[in-house]
Amino acid sequence: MSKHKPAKDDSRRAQLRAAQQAAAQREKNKRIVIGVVIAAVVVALVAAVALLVVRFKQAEAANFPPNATAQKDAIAVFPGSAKQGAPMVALYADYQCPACKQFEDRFGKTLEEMARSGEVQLAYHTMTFLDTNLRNDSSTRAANAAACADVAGHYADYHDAVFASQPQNEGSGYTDDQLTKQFTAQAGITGESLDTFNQCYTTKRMSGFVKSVDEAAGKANITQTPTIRVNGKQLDTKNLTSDPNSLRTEIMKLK
Amino acid sequence: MSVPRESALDWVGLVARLILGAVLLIAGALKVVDLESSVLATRAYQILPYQVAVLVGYLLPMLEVVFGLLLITGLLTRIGGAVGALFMLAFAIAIASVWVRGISIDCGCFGGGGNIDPNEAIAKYPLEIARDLGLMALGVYLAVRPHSRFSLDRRLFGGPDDSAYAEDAYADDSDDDVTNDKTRPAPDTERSR
Repeated sequence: MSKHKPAKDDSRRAQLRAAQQAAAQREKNKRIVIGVVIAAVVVALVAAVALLVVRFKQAEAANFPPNATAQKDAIAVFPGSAKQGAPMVALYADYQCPACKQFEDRFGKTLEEMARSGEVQLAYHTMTFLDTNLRNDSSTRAANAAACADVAGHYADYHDAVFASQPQNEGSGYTDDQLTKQFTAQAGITGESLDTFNQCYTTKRMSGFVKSVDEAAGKANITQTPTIRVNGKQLDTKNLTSDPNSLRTEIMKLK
Repeated sequence: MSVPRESALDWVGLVARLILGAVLLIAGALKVVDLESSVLATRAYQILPYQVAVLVGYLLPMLEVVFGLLLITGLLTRIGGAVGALFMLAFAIAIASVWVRGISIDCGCFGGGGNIDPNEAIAKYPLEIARDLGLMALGVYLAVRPHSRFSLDRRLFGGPDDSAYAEDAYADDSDDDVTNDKTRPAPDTERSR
């Protein structure tokens, strides 16, 4: 049934063709856009995986301090003096963490005495996540310096010195002067051992180790500091009182 | 012939797109420039194994930016809405998970929240879950009815999904509602030879 004149017929066909071409173009546009979006998602995935690979590569400890644990996840404190059956105590802390300083102030001495006397096998797992939160690099530099203090033979005293001088203002961090001059002096690192320390610190030789310790803490699901684990079991810091001996009690409970 | 009722819902679609899209884009953009914080935040939930949490921490912000932009511009709206809804559902489930376990993710050094009372932090959870479920609802709406005003879907493809654009292809190129010109013959049914 044709009620159109031939001219109108042609224009109808032309309109149809134009409409179909427009539809085809739109279909093509859609395919291009979907392709671009898929490409964007793939790029994001590749970028994320690349960041992951770089991160884990940097955490390979080519150089590590003399008292590093076998898994390169901590530094042992007064190793070798542990008595038979002494529980392993792992302390996870960040040098910029105020709660860690509080713990250190109250229990640091007791803990180190227990390690020295062989009551426990102590290891410090130093984390650096506060650099991200506080937007500085003091946690990493302090951790590097502490590892170098172990190379220089005065780890525990250096560790104590850092926490003793933690700034009131969270975020101020530590200066290189403090790390290389003040804390070393307080830890008894002088003369030749100071040269060893400086050589280690200025070359950032312990960087890989520091990252490996931090990564290991992450893998151990540490999401809060300070965290104390005794033979792998979490110590509930809420049970600790103002009495330093409460730490001894809690540790022995988990033994 | 326009259809007035559909036009009103198209405005709802626009609002849904802009809200959900802006939330995703801003959240993503803030994290994309600070990926290490994103990683810490993901780890704080203690849901994923460590390496997976790190990967998600790196990947999520980038995906949020991509899908936030898609929603705001109204491009591939059905997919954007569906993916946005999935993100919001995942976030709601994650918060419910830490709520049930009594974990306070904003508290203390790790969450970057400084010294926040854990009970205060946990008290916010139900609100945050409600918020995320509300945003999820916007995404579901868009996945079901992706038509909206001022969308690139319409400008580039004539409409947000295949059935729509087939109709729209015969409409004029204005941003207006679908018009059905009943005097035009349907394709293939009239051969003028």
